[in-house]
Amino acid sequence: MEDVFVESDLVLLKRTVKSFVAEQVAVLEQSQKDYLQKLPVEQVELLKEKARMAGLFALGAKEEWGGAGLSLFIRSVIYEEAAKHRLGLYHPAADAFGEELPSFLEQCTLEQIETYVKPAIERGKGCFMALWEALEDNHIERLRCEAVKQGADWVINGHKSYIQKLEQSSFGIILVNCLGDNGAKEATLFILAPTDSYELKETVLMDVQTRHEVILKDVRLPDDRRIGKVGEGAQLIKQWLAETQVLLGARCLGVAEKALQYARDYAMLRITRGKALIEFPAVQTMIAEAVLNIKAARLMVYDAAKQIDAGDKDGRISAKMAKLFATEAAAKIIDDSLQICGGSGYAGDLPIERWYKEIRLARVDLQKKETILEEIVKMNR
Amino acid sequence: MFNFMESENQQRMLAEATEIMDKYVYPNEKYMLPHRGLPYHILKPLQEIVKEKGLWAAHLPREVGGMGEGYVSLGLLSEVMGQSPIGPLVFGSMAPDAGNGEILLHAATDEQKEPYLYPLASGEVRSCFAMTEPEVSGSDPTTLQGKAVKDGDEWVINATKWYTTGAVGASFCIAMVVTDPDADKHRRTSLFIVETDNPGFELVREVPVLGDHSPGGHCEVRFNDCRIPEKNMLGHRGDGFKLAQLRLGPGRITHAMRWLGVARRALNEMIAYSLDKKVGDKSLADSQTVQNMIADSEAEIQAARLLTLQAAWKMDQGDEARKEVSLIKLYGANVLNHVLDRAIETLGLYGLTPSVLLEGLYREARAARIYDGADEVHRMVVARQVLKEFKAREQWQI
Repeated sequence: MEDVFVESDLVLLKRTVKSFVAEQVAVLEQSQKDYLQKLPVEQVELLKEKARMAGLFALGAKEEWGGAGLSLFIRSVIYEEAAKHRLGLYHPAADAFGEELPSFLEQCTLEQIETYVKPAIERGKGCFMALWEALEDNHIERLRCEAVKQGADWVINGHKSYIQKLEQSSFGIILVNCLGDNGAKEATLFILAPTDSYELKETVLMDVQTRHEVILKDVRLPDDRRIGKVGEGAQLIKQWLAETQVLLGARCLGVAEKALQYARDYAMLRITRGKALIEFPAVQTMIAEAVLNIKAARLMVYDAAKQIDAGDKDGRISAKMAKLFATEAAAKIIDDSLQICGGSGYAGDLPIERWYKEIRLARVDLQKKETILEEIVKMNR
Repeated sequence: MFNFMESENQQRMLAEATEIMDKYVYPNEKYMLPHRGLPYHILKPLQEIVKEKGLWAAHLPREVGGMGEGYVSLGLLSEVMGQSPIGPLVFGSMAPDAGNGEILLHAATDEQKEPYLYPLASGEVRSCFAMTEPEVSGSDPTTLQGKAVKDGDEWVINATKWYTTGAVGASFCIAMVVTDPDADKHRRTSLFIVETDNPGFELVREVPVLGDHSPGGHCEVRFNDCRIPEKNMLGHRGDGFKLAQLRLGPGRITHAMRWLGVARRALNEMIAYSLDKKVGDKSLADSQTVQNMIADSEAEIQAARLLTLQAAWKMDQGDEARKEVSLIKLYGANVLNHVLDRAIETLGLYGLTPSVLLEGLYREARAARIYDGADEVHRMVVARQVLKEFKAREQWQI
């Protein structure tokens, strides 16, 4: 679809998303009486209907599966806009556009697509990723969860932690090491169905985000749940990681811009020692650096997205760099905005308080700075 | 004269405090409740143990049941108790009661001390301090708007305040309001003791905030034609700014002292995790990247510690130590946030789970760069003072 997309279409699309967020999502958020942690499910479902009517649905999913088939670049533009509200960093447009699905699902068999993928898209649901483990949330090659072949089935044992958006998913995907006869460990992806006999535990990260742990004790999965070949899992998951890093970066841009907007508005109004805060160079510096870093981060996010769309071999490392730069930039901007707004920034009346927690999470999520720096060096020595 | 050794008395005090922390404080952290501290039935026996050991209320003199050992001792002790969010509560030097105790000690009449200072000092009651207003900048208390008007032998207060910390469960409040709008900007306000069961005192809401370690929340309160007797004025008419500053000076340094403990706790969590976590056949602590973070944290904590103790020492000599207090308020708050950030970075997502204390400390710590003067205000104070000293030294001609 992207080949027919010209710039004016993109501007129009961006405008549509902007007004959807302002008129539907932000209004709904503001109508909630108490300190907002999440929107009621039934209202989110209504929003999904409205988004579908506006053509904003299943943005990345292939057209033959019922999706919009938009490129990662176009989705980056959309999600930056869609993140500009209180819940936007992790729930862009309040999840009204449906959940993002990994592009590696095209490796699924026709039966898998009919059974899992298409129904998920139809319902605006996603698939959760059971990837990281309690003490390993950075290096894919250090993961431990294992599968052993028994007849036609795989028997899986292990724990998977920090699973995001499990409640918004209609199925899951798990990365396990398949043990070969010679003792080799081959990372492989399998589909987890809601009916499988894994155990679930809930936890809340940074007092703001619900995540789940999946505990698998001798869980039997038939071989037809496998996605791709045995041993292809790590490559496929890295592809997903790159797409997800770019989209997180895009959402960071939106939230950073929104935080900057609150800070600027506040600084224009608040008088201290006889003048508005915006007159103080300390505040001006924060605002100027925010504008500068948003611009730089946006260029990196767009660049990574375009590389991945083009199948460029540098796409993955660019995605990591974009994720790192955008999360760090947004963190600094949110921190400065909180500082400018002072007590109002520290209070949950403004969304900065929520973003402060979420952005700390985002910085360690999907590979932290130190891991990404290691990978950049690997590519450059 | 330089001596970095603790006295024998201080060594004994620290050893006893450490023992109490290990035996009674850390094991009870699991009972902590957001915005409520420890449940009463758990807290009270712990406070009794502290009192028996003579470590209660280190910020207050002996005549009101405190330790009376001066600021350096208070600093050393705060560093120990600050390692747990419930430490100051158990040791009787929790904000805002500690600051209110100091203000009452200084400004209250004997008639006021009896019902307010003594029960506060012994931990029988809690209190709150109502100064900050949502409508005006907290960085400039000369702009406060809430006012009290004299009516016969009563004062009638009308004001909206927020960040009145600890208002839930407080038995009285010290309110700072304008009594003389036309006076010089530092003489406009006065302080009043307002009992929280006064029908004119309204607890509007607990403001939802980032951190949740303060018992009694950070509240919005309203004074609606709140009538209080003349005798509840604290100090003299127009003394509000002066007394609030008097409260904030020592208050800032007790915060800074406590932060040393919090930062130490965060560093310890980070070290313990990195020694424990294996990466292949090595531990994470073998990684140079992690070692850099440990070394930087240690350097910053040590620098903040010496700055703090030096300011405390100056205050013990009777100096206001204005520059030093501003320096440590600014530097200490940033060290605290840096160290916590590094600790979370080291632990990764695990560091954000409720099974480690770090995420709660991280959220709580952000306020330190705002309350009692934002970073930017203290930078200004420090810079002005440094410039002034330089000019005086060099006999600078403008």
